[in-house]
Amino acid sequence: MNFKSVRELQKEKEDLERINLSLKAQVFNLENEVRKYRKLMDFPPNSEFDFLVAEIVGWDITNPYIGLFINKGEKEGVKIYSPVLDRWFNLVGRVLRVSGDSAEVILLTNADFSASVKLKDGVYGILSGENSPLCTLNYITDPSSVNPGMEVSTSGLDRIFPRGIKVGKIEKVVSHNGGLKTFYLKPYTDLKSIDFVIVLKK
Amino acid sequence: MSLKLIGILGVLFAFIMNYFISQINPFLLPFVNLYSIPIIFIGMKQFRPSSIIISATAGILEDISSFFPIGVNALKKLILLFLVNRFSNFVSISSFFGYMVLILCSVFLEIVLLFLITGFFGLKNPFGEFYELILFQPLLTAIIGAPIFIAFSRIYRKK
Repeated sequence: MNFKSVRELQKEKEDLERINLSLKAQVFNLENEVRKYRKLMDFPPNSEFDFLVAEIVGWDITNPYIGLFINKGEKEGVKIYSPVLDRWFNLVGRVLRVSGDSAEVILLTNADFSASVKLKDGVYGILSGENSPLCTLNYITDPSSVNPGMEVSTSGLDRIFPRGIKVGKIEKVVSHNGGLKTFYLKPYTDLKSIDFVIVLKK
Repeated sequence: MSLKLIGILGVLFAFIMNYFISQINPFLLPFVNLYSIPIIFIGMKQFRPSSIIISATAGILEDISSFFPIGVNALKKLILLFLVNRFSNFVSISSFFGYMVLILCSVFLEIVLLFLITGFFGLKNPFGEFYELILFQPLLTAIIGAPIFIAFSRIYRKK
């Protein structure tokens, strides 16, 4: 048996109170920092949207460009069509199915994914996945004004993704016979290195 | 060891290995089809209700870890089991290279089956532009699967 004197216990109590106080101060500082970063990011739907951080718990076994599984579900407020972003707020995909504690996310590289995007003022298009690293852009309102290297962000017209989320850059433009062009987009998000994602909640 | 036990252990091993691979780098997952190894081995030996249940279980586990509707991979695995059982009776396979060729052909057949099933249900091409996977997946699975087949055969013979 290990007995401690009253003095020792008193000292231990004082130490623990001191630690508790410093931890409270740390929490307060961190909360302030989070608030500051949220403001700094100037995320368009800042006032309207709240977000939660989810860990990636699995990937599609057939082709990881199809989708991933996260450890947050209905209980935490994840809903179908909730936009999913990476830590730099680049578009990753959207929620496809939700269960109590987990959710399935289809990536922007998935062939079943599509989103309305803006290339520049007045030029819009539809982003589609291809089950491969590059995505394609279709139905561009003014294809002649689109060049490789142009930045693409969400337009908000689909009412799924808020306006202004960064998507990627035009990687290449392939011309076909008859003047048709295919626009390939390289997403900003590096799917090979993400370990957690941000899910937007309304 | 009975074939049932080999099948169950093989499927469990595939599940655990897939989990570890996904933790290391999920983009390595499509390069090898570990679930098929025990199924091809069972199919080569016999076609009984227990082997059907093990194959369907492996398929459902694959379905759970993919975005396909539940049943697509289970159906694929059942067809594979049936075809391997039918065709392996015509050839005598007992060497390392024999096993390699069998696994190579079977996994290639599985990819073709996946294309046919997904096409039939109107689903999009699951491999996208990764057409090299059609070659790499059977080849890597054959290289990994042949030594496992030899180990399975030794365990099975000890019965």
